[in-house]
Amino acid sequence: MTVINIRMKHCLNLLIVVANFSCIEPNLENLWTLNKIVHIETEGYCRDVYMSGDSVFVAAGQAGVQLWDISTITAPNLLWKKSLAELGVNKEITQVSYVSSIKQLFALESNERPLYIDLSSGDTASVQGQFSSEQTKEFRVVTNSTNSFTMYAADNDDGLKVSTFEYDSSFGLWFNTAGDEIASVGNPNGIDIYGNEIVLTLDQLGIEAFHLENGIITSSYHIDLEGKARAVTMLNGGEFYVACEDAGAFRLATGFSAQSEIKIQFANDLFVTHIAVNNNQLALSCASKGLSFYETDGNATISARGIHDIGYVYHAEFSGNYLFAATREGLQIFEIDE
Amino acid sequence: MRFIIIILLSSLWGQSWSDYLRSPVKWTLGFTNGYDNNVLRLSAIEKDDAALNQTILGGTKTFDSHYVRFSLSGLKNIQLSDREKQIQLFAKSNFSDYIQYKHRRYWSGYIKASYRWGAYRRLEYMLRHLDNYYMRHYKDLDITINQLFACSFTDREQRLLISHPIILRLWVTGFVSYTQRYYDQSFTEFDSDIFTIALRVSKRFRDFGTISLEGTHGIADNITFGKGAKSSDLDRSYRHTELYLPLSYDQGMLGFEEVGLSFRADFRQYRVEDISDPLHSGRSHRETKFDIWGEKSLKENLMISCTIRFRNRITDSRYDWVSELKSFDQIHAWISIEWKMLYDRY
Repeated sequence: MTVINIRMKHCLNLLIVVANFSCIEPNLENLWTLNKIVHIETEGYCRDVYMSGDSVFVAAGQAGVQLWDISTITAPNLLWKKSLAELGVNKEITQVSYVSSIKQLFALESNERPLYIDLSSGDTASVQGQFSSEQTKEFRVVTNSTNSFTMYAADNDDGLKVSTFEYDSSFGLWFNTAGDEIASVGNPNGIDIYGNEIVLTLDQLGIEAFHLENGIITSSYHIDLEGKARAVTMLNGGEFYVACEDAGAFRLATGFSAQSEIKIQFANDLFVTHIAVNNNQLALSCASKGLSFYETDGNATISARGIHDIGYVYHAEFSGNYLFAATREGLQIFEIDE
Repeated sequence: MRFIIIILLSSLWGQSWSDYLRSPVKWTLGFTNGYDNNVLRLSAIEKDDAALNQTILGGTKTFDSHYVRFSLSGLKNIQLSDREKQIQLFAKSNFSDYIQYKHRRYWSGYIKASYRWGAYRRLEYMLRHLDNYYMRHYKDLDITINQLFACSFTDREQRLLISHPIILRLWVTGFVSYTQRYYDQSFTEFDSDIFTIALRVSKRFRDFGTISLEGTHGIADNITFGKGAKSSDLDRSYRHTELYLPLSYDQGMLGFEEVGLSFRADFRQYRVEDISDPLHSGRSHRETKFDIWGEKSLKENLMISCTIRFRNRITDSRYDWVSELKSFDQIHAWISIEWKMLYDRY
């Protein structure tokens, strides 16, 4: 019979210590998790969302336009909604934008003309009518003063469409006082503006940048990209992200020419329709594949942080610490846990 | 720490540590030249697909590969005052390189400490490491739809083994092992802790050789199940049972001093029964390996061995496409040369 003596016991203890230190740790994937705060049923497809404080404007597709109050984020409250009939349009609403300084809400009927809704009279939403050009794909509104604004529109058949409006207090109406059309290299389907720089997405022809100087807009450069350029998100005058549908997404940093200083393609195998940016966080709207997250270090490194199948995503926006996702299934509000 | 100090300061069985360490170290330098006809373990259907879409091959152009392996091992016997008792320390390190598969380049190794207190009496602790072993390219569904990424894993196994005689030249060996199989960053959803228990009975016949029979049962716990992104929603835990039957004949045959053959059959059953995971749901496989080898000493300190291995996996699933996708055949053949050296400073 074998007896384990005291010295052997020490050896066994040593083995236990060695065994303890011999374990390895699993790798971490560095993926971000998505915590759903609330899911808002919008009746129609939620095509776009615009946040202004506790107010959330929703382009609810064939259900028109809706305004939700999210002062209690877990229990949003519908303040009002306007159906297509009330808006006086026939197709679905695909974009909304609110300018709080002039209390005007702008909405876009799909592939038609933008319309604006006056919210200056308390809770009353008064539809004022449509303006600008047909076949508008996307627009941006910039205020010039408390009585004036200019709308820049990606006009699919005319290029860059500019419309300036001024408020006439005697009539209590906004009048179109100036306008211009600047031809683009291709047919625009998306737009973003930062300061005096405007970028249009041109579908198969990439992007074209314009410069605004003393009221005159001139084309700066054109960059062809893979895929179909669909939406652009500008970080500043020379840096932006471009969603290129089946070619994924690009990060571009340019000077004042087509010579890109940085051109990084990512999410190559995803169908990307929009990119929302919040510091280092990128949220890519990927249609039927949901949301895809990427992290950027601000330079050349863009790292994947996970795909989340939350439905068919058209558009996403960051606001506060939340991510608002406009999906076919409605408006979904999330927190990202890095 | 207390135990380390005790060990270092204590005098073992009346002699100091340095007395015991005054024994030679046997070094062995090894070189293996091998061939693998199905490096990625591709099924027939995958080979057909690869003809149209080579991305599955991860940048290579062939299914097979030539490989080389270098090894270095060291053995130190510490004879205790009781002549029947000894402590044996052994370490071996390998570096393997698949010439046609640049991703499969890895090192592996193990160290083991044995305490022997008579014939067939042994208590052994082994620590084995397999570093960054490339399997093949897979889709990382957490971050992509179609893109393939190199999938590798690292193994760390700890094994405690005990051997004891039953009757003359018949002995039993049992071991328990704990293996941590952790995948690289893109595929952590497969991370598993594997507990294995095994029992082997061996019989040595005079003027013949040795025959053994080993049974192994293991449980793999998918530790990342439900803890990560969407790909971790599927449980990859499994159980496996293995039967191993090696036979060696040491009386010389066909020019070899020792020849042998072994048969290994492994049955694995996945735990998951989820209709949304047809790839693993209710899946099991039977894998067999049949080895034939021969060894010959070319010189007193130079030994050569030749081995050929036939491997076959048959997958059972309620889905025919899964069965076809996960079944494969593989042939391995290799020749090893080992050069034994002795380092004795006394």
